[in-house]
Amino acid sequence: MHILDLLVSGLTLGSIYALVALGFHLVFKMTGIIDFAQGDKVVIGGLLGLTLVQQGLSTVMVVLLLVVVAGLLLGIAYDAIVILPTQRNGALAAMAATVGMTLVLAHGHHLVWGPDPKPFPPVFAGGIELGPLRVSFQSMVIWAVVVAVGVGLALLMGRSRTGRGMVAAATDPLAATAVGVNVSRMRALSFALAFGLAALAGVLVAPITLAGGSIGTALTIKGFTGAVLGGLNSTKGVVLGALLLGVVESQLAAVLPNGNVDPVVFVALVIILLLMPNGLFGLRRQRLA
Amino acid sequence: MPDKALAVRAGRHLAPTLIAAVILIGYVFTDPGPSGLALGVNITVAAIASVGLTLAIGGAGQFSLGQAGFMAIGGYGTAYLMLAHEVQFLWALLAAVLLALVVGALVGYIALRLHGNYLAMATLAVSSGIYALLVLPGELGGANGYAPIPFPEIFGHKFIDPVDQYLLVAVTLILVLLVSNWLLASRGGKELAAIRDDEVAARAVGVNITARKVQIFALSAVIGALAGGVNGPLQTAIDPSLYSPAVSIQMFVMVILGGLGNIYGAVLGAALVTWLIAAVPGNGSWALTILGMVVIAFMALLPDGLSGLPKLARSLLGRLRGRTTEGSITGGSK
Repeated sequence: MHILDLLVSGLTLGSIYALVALGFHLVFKMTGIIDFAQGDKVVIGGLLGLTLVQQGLSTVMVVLLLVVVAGLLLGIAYDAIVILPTQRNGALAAMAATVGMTLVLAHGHHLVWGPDPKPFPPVFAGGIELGPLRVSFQSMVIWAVVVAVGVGLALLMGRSRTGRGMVAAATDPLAATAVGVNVSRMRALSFALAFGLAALAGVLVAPITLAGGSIGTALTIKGFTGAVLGGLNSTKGVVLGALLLGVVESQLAAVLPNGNVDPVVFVALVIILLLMPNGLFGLRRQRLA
Repeated sequence: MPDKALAVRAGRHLAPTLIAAVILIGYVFTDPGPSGLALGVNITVAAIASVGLTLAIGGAGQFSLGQAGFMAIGGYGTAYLMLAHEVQFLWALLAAVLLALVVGALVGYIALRLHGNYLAMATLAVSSGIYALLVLPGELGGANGYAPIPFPEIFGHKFIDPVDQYLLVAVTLILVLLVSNWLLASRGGKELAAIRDDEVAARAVGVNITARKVQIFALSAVIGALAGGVNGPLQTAIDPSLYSPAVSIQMFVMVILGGLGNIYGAVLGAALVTWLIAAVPGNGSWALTILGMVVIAFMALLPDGLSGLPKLARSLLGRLRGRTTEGSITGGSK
């Protein structure tokens, strides 16, 4: 039964990673850039949610919705201010700009909310008992959100005109422009979704991990590890890879002394990048640029 | 003929190092006081590490976000050998630097397979992994830190006086600058630049990419470890937060601000960043938030950093005269 308990917490952890990893996936597919500030966006989302709750908003869905909307808007601004102006100077300049953004987000939130992590009231209290196994409502909501987001994105990308436009703009911006796709709007949409999903992850995870603090970089690396484990180019892949990482991490934490899995995960990332750069579900025969 | 050309080139390149040396040593005579000297030590140590990082990033175009990990190897390695095994400072430093050499060479092998974004993420993961190991409770003290490290002693001279301590790191920086200068002006340095600008073309003209990449990462790690190893005993107590991934990112920012590939720019960048963190109130939060914005602005407007200013001026002048100039380091590579 112990293993099942760990499975529950692992799936919850993996779901959070999945939301971060989806952001990596969207931005990478659209621009070829890996966004080093991805984990810090999560922290911002959690803190925005905390502020809303402290302002007296008690309806959970409203808080979630407002944070996602704020995230979407921040994502559009993020693209316009950080990525677009720097990308002219090459992909590496844009990458360096996202590293600069990690500083702005990670230290900027200290200025607004203070440096210490803050407790976040549980959004969904209680849980259900399945024999000896206890699943909190918080976990179930997180799972439901990830399933909904995953299915929603798959439908958006696969079926809708907008989604096809996004794929087209990502594959060949010039050709997409020629057939009438508004490439800059598709870009903005990708960045908006990347920030929005990260912010959503922040509110969902804050009751478990506390809001704020300096977990941004660790989340960046973990989310990225999940993404490359599944295959950075595949929407399905990044979700499954992130879930797998969360489950493995929880099981490892129970075995390792001090429960410190971070060094193992970080070494695993390097090994995955070296040995299977396309991940478990990625496209074959593609070298990392 | 080649020898003479090299001598002339080396001579011309020596001038900035001499100026840097005069400024570094001259600082002592401005009567900075203990707090000024402590800031001087911090700046100089950051400068050493960022010069090492510049060799990898600017010299060879290898984006590394892991310099703090190598500083940790130097700092903790030296401190552990001095405190637990009572090894002499210089021998302890040498052993720690050799360990960093091995780890750096391993990272160099990683860099053979990964480029750009991926290499940056992998090196950040290595640095974060080293940090996560140091935080673990154990012989090295975990998050509480490691102390008391004895003061360094070289040939019977104990570095207790703040002025002596500052001079120790200042002389180390000058030596590192001399070596880096020589390296960048040598054939090896030209080969590194060739790898940076176009790896395929460099391979085609016979540059041994494997050897060069592994060497430059090893050297970059060695210089990082040197910074950590010299600094550790001077601080008498070290803790993992000195070597956190955030410090790696700060190092990266110093190199970016100074201008990729310019070792003096890296020294300036290190001075600017370290001084701002110390001088601006708010425990560095304000300073680092603003620095992050400055990095974004630089990447948008001035991708060659502070050292790109003359080039920018030239290009503006050229544009006034109706001529175009070539692209920047970052612009050329994909």
